[in-house]
Amino acid sequence: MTPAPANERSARVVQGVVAHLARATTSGRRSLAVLGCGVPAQPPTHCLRTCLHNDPQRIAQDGCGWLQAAAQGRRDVSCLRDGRCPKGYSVSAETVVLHGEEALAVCLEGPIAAAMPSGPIDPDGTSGAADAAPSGLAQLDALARVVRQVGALLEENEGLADEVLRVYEQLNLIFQLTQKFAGLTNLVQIEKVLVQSLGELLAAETVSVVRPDGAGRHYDIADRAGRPRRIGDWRDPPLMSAVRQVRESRTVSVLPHRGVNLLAGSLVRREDAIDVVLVARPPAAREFTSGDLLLLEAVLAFGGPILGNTELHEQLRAMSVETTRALVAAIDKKDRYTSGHSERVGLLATLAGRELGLSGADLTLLEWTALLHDVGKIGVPEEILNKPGALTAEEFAIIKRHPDMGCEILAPIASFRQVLDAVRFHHENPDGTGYPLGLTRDEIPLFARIIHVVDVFDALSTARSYRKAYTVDGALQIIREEAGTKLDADAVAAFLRALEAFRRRRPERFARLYPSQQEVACGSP
Amino acid sequence: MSRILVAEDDPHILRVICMWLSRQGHEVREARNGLAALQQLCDQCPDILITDINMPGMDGLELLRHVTSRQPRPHGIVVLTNRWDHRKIGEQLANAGVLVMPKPFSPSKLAELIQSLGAAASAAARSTTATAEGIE
Repeated sequence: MTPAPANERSARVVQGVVAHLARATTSGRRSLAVLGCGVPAQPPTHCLRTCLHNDPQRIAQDGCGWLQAAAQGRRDVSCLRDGRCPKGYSVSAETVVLHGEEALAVCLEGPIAAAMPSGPIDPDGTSGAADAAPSGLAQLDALARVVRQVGALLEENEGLADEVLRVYEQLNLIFQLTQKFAGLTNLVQIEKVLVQSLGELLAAETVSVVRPDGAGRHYDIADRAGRPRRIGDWRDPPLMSAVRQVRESRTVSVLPHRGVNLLAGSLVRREDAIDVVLVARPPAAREFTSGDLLLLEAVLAFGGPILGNTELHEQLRAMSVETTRALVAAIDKKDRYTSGHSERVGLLATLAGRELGLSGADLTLLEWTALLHDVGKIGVPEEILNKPGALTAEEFAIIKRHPDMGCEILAPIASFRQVLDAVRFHHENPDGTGYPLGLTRDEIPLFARIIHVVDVFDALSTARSYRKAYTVDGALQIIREEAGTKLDADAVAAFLRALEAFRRRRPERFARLYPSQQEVACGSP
Repeated sequence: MSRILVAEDDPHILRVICMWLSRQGHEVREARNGLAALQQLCDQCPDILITDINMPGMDGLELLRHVTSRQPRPHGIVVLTNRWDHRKIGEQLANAGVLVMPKPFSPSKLAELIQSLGAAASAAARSTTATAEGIE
């Protein structure tokens, strides 16, 4: 919102007060006018009635020529003080200061009622009851004081109203930003939204974000797509030192810079990561006001922690992904025959899960569970895992403990608590012949049933110490045969559909996952 | 410039809105509740009605029921209401040709809205005049 210029405001204030006072003081004998101070020279009521004959056209064109000339030509009121107007009315005048501007308050006295034509202008002022009025100047003095006080109060009111509206605008922006941010988890997007909102609110041409190392991004606000440019040649030493100062003092301030309207504020993402936001208006646009400064401060104070927290969240998330991948890689490294096994089971289980109607967080959880399903193999000695030839009953018993061990390893991780059973039961068969408990059909959790199918497929498709790899089609044939007995029939059906679609859509990726199969597959009839 | 009637029960908010609108050159009248607004509407129909929803006596929804069922009706109606129920109110009034803004409202957005409503109102007035002249 643009505040009205001071002289316009004071004109409105004076107009209002004068109109009010004129109504209150006009009687048969006296009337009041204020000339100057931005008020159109409205002649006192009796001039309207006598000299200008209530003719709107004459009033508009001529006004009371004599009074206007007196006010404009000679601010020295002595010429008017206790004088008489050409019509012979007694005139008293006083300079009054309204909002820093000098105005001339004029009071005219005379036997107006006698000269007044019929048809009063102001019905309230025609009662003619104020014969016992105090002398012109004394009352004028009092009136001028009232005018001053009322004017000051009105100005204060307007200032307060402006302040309220400014706060409204800020609150609105913050509500809006909160809503926009609620759906965003991406740092780059959050910065874009922040910058675009600031730019629009501050009527800026460009907004730049300068990083602590001096690098940064430059956004053109008119470009709604919000594609940032790298900061270029405007990085001159005086500006950069001012930017440093803003960063160190953590303030918001207007920067003098080669005639550009530039506003700068610090965006504290973390204690050790403070960006500086530069908001630029074209040189011809109006200068930044204290309201703009407040607005920038409010938005940055709000945006900084959001950016900081999101950054932290992204870092933690990346760390947990990297840690888990490292763990998964460690499991696969242990068994030289199963390199990449967990990654492949993770991918294919997700595809099968989607085929079964899973989505969103469930699907992510399934992927993580599938990636980690063999984590318990960490507790199985390498000699057993990599033993060529058949395992002894004892060795097989140790192998069969890996689902339970996996469950124990993952138990302390809160986010995996709900999928511990899937890890524990991924070797259970629907016909009850699996391990560790020999559960049947619906007793086996859905995630475990899906992972079991994919696990068997991947194991068959890759070579083992004791046998060669099956072709993909050969492995699929075995899976089909075991559906309903060793493997869950629904999970098998979903997996077959998902794998078929994946092979068709991403043949190259599929060939990378199961490379050794291609030659064999080509060679087979 | 538009003739605007503002109905709002909080006297301070009402003052702020009216002062701000008059300074933009609009002719503004104020009402402290729905009933007072309805009386003013009967005296003279404004171009734009800005009303709060939660008011003692007659609330904004009842006022709107009266306003939208009578002729002439204001050219534009803007409803200001609490942020937590503004969506619900917006759905309730979806077919009433009413614009709903959450409080605290954005002065810049309201100003834009009033300007476009005012422009639409004067365009409509011109076309009515033209039609009337055409008939004559």
